[in-house]
Amino acid sequence: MTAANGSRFVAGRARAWLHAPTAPVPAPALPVIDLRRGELDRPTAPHIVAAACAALDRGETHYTPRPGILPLRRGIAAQLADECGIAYDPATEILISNGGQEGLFVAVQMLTRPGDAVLLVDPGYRGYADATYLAGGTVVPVPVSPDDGFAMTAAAVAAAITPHTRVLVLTTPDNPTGGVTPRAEMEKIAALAVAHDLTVLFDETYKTFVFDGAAHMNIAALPGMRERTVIVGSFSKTYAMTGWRVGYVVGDARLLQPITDLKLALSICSAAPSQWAAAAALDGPYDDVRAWLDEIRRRRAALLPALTEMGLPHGNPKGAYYAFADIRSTGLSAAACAAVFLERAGVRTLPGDQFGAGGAGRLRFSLVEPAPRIAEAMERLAPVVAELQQGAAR
Amino acid sequence: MTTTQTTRHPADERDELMKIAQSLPDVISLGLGDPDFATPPHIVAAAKEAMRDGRCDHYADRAGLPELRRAIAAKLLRENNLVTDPDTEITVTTGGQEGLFLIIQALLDPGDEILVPDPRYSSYDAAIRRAGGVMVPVPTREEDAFDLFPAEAEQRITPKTKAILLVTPGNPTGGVISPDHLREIARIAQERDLVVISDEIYEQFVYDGAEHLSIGSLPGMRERTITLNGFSKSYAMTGWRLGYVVAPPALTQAIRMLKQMVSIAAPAMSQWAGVAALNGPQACVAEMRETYDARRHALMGALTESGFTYGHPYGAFYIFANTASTGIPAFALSRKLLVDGHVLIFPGTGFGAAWGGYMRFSLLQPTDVLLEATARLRRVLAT
Repeated sequence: MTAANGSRFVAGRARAWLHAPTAPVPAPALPVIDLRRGELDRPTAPHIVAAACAALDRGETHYTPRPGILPLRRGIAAQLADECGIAYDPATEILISNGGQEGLFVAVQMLTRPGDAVLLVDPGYRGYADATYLAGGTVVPVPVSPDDGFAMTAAAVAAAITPHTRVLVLTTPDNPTGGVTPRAEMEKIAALAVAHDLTVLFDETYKTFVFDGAAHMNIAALPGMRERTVIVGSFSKTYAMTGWRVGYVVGDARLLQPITDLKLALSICSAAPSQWAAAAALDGPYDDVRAWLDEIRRRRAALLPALTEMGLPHGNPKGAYYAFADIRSTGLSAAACAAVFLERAGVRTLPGDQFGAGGAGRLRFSLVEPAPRIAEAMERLAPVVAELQQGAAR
Repeated sequence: MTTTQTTRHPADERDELMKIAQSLPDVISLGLGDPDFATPPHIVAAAKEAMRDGRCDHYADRAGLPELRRAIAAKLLRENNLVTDPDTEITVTTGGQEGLFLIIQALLDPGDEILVPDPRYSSYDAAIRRAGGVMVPVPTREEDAFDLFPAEAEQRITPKTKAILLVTPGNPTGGVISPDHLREIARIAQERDLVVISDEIYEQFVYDGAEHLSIGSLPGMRERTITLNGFSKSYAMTGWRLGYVVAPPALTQAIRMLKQMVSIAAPAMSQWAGVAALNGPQACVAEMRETYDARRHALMGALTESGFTYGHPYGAFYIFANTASTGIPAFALSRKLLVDGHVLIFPGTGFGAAWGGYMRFSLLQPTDVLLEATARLRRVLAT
């Protein structure tokens, strides 16, 4: 009865998640520095909160128009036009979702037919794999390498394409690796998508977070791509609004219509105060965003060289706020290494195999603590790592 | 009921009506199920306070704020006689609609049959279709005030039947399933090993001495009942997108995994608003109920005067009126009424193909506006 024999989802999810090792860990000796989270230690800016309060004061407590409030859809259209030179019609080509997660979920459901293959970066965000599984599709991993800064390469995409391939998920900057796909590579990937008639699900959740001279670009701006690209984005990361649940799906009206239909069936519309808050976020000011980019630069400076010095390579990520470090020199699995780091150094990290087979032997470090705390975490880890490496080399 | 059927998709019909409505002045809408009341001020104030305190910036607990799940458990015990464990049996969702979607995806395997009252709220269809489930309509009738008769359900049970969906009070009919029928359905569910999904989103709005009974509170039902509820209707909170699902622990585990995958967590400010709604004064609910009841009496009278019959609405805030006497199929009548009379009322075909002789009137306008709408209806039909 019920889920015991009923849920194909539980069965599938169990394969992906439930069997992940979760050995009990002894209490750490030191106060814990937690570098696992996917969201910054950053509050939503006051002007955004104020806009939500003002909307409530105006009585915005009812269903909004189903695809989202028009000022927000217009704002997103203006931003995409400004950033990428792509024109979208706010009336028919922009959908507001309950966070980027709902956006990617409905997009995957409607772009994937049973039996379709979906190309997904490995390691990559598992939300796509779960959504593909539920849609009856098959995930085909596209490996990425720290030698390329974890950027998706056209060669790896080409090698993964089969006659069943229908969708390519391209996330740049990427979670968990911080990889940013450079323009030249994106052009080659776009050519492959056109040649093989693929739809590209382009995830720009982390688009604000690019560093070291890298630039974010949108694949929809490339020739032949607007009509085959669905963009998924979010207010969560750029504006520190994870709790508000606002994201968007953008695409050619023909592609977006079925996605909009499913979103309506799933949740009718997105929360009204959150949508007004998001509209205010787009309006600016952006001082808070700029200040946090500077802060992340300081944190990167505390993290990346220290990892390199310890002999934990990370591919010099150019985006997002993560480093995906190779810990195989310790001789431990990711889960075992994370446990040792916590027990002996009081530092929490996320085992990389949660992001797919390509994450084995890697840990994700998130830049979610101030730079001095990250520096302290590195100081604590250095002797532990050195000792593990010596033991492994013996 | 007429045999008039339509080959058009109900959503397309609705879209067309909404589009026409936008192009016309002074349209009276008795269409959408969005209460005309604003969310009560103490609920809004609690949300604003939570936002200003920085309690809404980050992901809320994936299963729902512990404070909210505890408030829900207390409410269910207090009002519904449902004993629940907020840690393992309650999941907060982004509106009742998402809750239903998650339930169906977690429960149904392809080919599984689910009994669904007919007429029904058409958004169930998409959820069932996506899971590969098969919807088996269980007829209800105007002359029974759209109560659901257990024998009608029982005779449609097959080896593939996994669940029965109950919506009480019902949309679009305002029908309330009588406690005796619910007890009988509970017996059948246990005998035939069915899961009962009980959509109780309109529970606060019952009239004329009708009783709302939560089927999950009956003996032997806790382990096979999924109760769906939300804040949109009870507290006029449609814009907040907040609902919840009560289910046995094993199924709750699946529902929470799906919730994480579909939208991670419900909006934090909405959840704090929900805490205030459940833990705060309930006078606002009683006031809304009284107001809907007064409107209900006025609209019933006006419909009767206009020569329409309807299933007696013991609950919710709708009247499902029989318009067969006009001789005009429901969608054509909706369209005519909108174009000629500037009144938007959804045709029964949106709630099942067999309902082309019915229209759903909502009570979500002040009484004088409702009466003006029926006056326009009479004028349009007289010409």
